[in-house]
Amino acid sequence: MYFLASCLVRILGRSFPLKKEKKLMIGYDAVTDAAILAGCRFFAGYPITPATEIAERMAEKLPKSGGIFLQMEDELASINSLIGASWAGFKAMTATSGPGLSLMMEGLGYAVLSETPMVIVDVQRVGPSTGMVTYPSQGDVCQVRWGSHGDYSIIAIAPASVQDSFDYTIMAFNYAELYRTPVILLMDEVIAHLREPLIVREDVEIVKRKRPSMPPEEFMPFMPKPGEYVQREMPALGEGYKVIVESTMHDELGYRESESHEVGSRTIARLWNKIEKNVEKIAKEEFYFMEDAEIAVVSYGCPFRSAINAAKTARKEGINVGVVKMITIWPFHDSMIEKLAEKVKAIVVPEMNMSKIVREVARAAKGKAKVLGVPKLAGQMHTPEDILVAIRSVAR
Amino acid sequence: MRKEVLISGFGGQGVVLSSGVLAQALMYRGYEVAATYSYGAAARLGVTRGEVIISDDWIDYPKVKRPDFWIVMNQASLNVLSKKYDIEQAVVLADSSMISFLDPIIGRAKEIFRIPASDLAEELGAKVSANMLMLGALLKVSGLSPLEDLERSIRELVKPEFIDVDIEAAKKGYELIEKEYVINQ
Repeated sequence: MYFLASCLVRILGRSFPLKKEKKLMIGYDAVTDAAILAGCRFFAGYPITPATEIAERMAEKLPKSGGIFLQMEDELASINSLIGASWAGFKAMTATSGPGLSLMMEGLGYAVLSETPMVIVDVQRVGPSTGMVTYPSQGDVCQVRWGSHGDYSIIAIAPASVQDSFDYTIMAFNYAELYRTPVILLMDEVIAHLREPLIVREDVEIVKRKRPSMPPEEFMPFMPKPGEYVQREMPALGEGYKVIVESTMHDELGYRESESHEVGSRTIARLWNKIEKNVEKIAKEEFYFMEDAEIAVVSYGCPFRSAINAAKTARKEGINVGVVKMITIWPFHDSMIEKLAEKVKAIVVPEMNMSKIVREVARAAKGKAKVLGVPKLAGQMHTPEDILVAIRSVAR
Repeated sequence: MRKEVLISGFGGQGVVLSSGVLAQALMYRGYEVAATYSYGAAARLGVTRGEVIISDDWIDYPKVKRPDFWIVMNQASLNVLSKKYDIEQAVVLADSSMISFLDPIIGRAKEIFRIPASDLAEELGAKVSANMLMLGALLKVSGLSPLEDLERSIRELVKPEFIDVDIEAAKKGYELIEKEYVINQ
């Protein structure tokens, strides 16, 4: 795999001539178009409902853009081939759903420790296990953060529309390069299968892979500049640099250091800090009707849309409700939630799971506002009424 | 203005495709649109549902709450979904080639049109074009968009070998609904 990938021509960050046009597009198409625009030239995956369409579209489009599509034998091979492709200089992506994501957890840890940029699209469906294959869910939000073993932090982004799917895929690729980390695009089935008008933006910023600025004998692939946590510069196989991609604990040159507490401590802390200490730069959210809000609905993914509808109705009833759309879920934006909790008297968190992110919200709110989760299970999107009931209950 | 269109049938009748074709046709008219679909684990049969929302403003909730129009293509989805939705304000277009028992909606829906869409489409040469025949009928009944928009949308989204028969079916649906096949409840 390494050999194959390194033998092929690299086409990274090629800019496309773009016209600003509005067209009807489906969520998974927006993801694949944006990925190619962001410079993705390698996709490896294994089919799984409801993420298969992303692989199908990549199989069709990637070769036409000079990229490589591989259908692998399973999800383990898929994510491992992404590590190889990324170190061969490719921007790389895979797409899967719950059961496949579970299989990718070991490879995810490998990518974290080897600081390998990649994008993993998870189109969430109902679990546990095979679950309800065609129905939407947000059940994987904690798995993407905590699912692989050991200490690390990660970036996860949740789109809530077709436009988001396009824009945030580009964001995911950019973050992957900026922080040299796997980034998870946490879709849900509703958004992946939603058709909506999409404006293809002209002003997209694409972060390119940064090449080593020093000669091979001086370059250290895991040594950030003083005061920074990330070594942005990354060599590719076949360029004359030492490329040691090691899943065992390693030093800044990449050499195995499986018995040094000192090297291990410093590497683990840096992997954590490069995400967590940059939370203010990474975390993104949007605020709606928040100016005079007494109650906030904190949401992500498709329930955001029900939340907006519910907020409009609540306002007609005289309840001042605002909505926060979390664009990034991880790293968790504690300071934003704390500020929010100081402003409003209650925070409502609708989630298509048993209530997961609401625990993070409650932790970050530090008791400054009442926090109420609104779970919705088994493949059902919240109706606006579901959220309205919760809003009314905390408004009293 | 917010209008909600529900399309239902079994897997293989083109419910998903027709929801996309309708959304695209209405987007040409300048509406904001959002279309979703849901289906079972089976590739054929099962209940498949397409939901198309049309509005003047940005669409927040992209699912059907109370349908204004309901294209129903088989008996199973009529039985199941008539229990799920409040259809008091719905104009129902039922494929009477596939549905013989309308009792679950008679007296509840605002208006019912029985159209033998699958039989008519079969006469045109492709039974699977029944979905487009129903869309033609929907445009006529709803006045949402002229037939040209639907034709343009079919040309863009449908597989080349079905374009001609689908357009013919859409025209037939658009024309026939005023003539012999209108049977209100």
